[in-house]
Amino acid sequence: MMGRVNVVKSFLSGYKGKLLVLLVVLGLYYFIPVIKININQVFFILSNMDVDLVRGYILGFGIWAPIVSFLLMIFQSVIAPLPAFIITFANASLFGWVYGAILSWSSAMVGAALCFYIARYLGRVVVEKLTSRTALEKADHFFQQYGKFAIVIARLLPFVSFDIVSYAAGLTSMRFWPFFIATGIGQLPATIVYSYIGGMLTGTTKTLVFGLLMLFAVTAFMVLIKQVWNDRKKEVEKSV
Amino acid sequence: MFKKFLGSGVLLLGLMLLLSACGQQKPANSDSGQTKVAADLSVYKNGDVFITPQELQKKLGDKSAILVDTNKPDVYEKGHIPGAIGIGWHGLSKIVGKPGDPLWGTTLDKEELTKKLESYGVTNSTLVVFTSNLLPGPGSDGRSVWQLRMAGLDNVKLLYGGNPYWKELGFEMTKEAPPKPFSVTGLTLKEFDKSYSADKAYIYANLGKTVIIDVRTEKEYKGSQDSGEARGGHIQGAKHLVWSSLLNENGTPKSPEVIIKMMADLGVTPQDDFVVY
Repeated sequence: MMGRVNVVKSFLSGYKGKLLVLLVVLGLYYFIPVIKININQVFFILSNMDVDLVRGYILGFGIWAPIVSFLLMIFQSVIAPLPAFIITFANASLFGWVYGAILSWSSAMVGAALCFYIARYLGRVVVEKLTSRTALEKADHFFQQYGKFAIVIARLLPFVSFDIVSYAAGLTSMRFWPFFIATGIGQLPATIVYSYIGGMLTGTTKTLVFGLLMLFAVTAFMVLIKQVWNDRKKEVEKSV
Repeated sequence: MFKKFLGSGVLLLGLMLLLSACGQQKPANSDSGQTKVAADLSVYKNGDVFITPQELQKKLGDKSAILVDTNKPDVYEKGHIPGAIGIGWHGLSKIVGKPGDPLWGTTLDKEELTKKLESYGVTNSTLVVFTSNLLPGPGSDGRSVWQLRMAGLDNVKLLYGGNPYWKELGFEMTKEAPPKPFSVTGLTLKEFDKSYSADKAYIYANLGKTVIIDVRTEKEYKGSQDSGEARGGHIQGAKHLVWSSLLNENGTPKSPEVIIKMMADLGVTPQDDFVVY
């Protein structure tokens, strides 16, 4: 029994297996109209960048609304260019800011974990071939030492697509839990701010809030730079 | 399934209807409309559906006039006419659910529409002007004018040439959010006058008798579902004329003669009934 599981496992982690998984996913999309139509509609709704449309979409599912919102956030994470904050706004206006924030935060966590594992499953070998092993090892090294900070910072910056960061983290040898914890901490401020006042933001207040988030991020960034600097110095001293 | 498709599509008579209904029967020599002199709207039979940029400019800041921008929110934020309220392209439509649901995308009911308009500060005597960047679509400004006129508000106009022509004339655009609109009460709408709309029963009964024109993009006519359409393709027998082909590059409508000629190519004369979606 175990032997068979292992055979399946090793097949799925080989090239052919990965190709098969990709083909199955694409096949599900192309050949099952219900899946295709619903995915296209979700993509259309989200790509409008319009909170009211997303709100209406989620609301339309009645009692299933929180679950649909959860799935929407995961979908948004996997399809990197789609924005998460639109869903965060919609959740806040549908479920109140506290429940909205909890829902947005937890679904984004699941989304980030999924991105991480997708990259890890599909990518490492391929990316290693495309770039160079040394470059990737350097990235590994950086992520191992500072990855947690880097991820916290990236999540604080409102204009950095966190989905990309999740994929990138999955490609390095960074372990899952440090990534997951850093993600959880990093996305707390933005989720709370967006949920609490996000929907009401206009003009100058928006600039102010973005400014504050930037301040957070820059501060964290300074800490990181200092750490890198100190470590360099230590290394130099050691070699002397 | 067929019914669902119609639900989201057929009721959307928009800019096309207004424009194509304009100007018929009274061809006249029109200036290109691109001089700094305000365009002569009287060449169009229903030219009073428009307001010229020059005239709107005089009314900006006037409490008795409300300007509404129907661009997508991110487009609106990149620049709009000073004082314009941004309501998105679906501001006056039902959006609970998704494209293809029976009533998704159709006009708000009388009560909901009243409340929405009151929240923008619209009274029965307010001049309401709609505008957008026009050519990117989806023509919600024209559609909104149609909706409000259907609800009995006559003092509702479409900005001649929309934002593109406004900019071409050198008038100001801004990124600054307008002050929050004063909401009012006491707006009375009439029961919707359905004489300028067709429902699926009407379409079904008139298949093959009335000219039906699909004004969406050619891709959509041929089956694309990129805008979330629950079903691809077009109503059986529908002809195709993309809505934007009635406009000049600067957003102003083409002259009555040109429009009459284009419609004639589809087999429609100014006296005929026809349906657009």
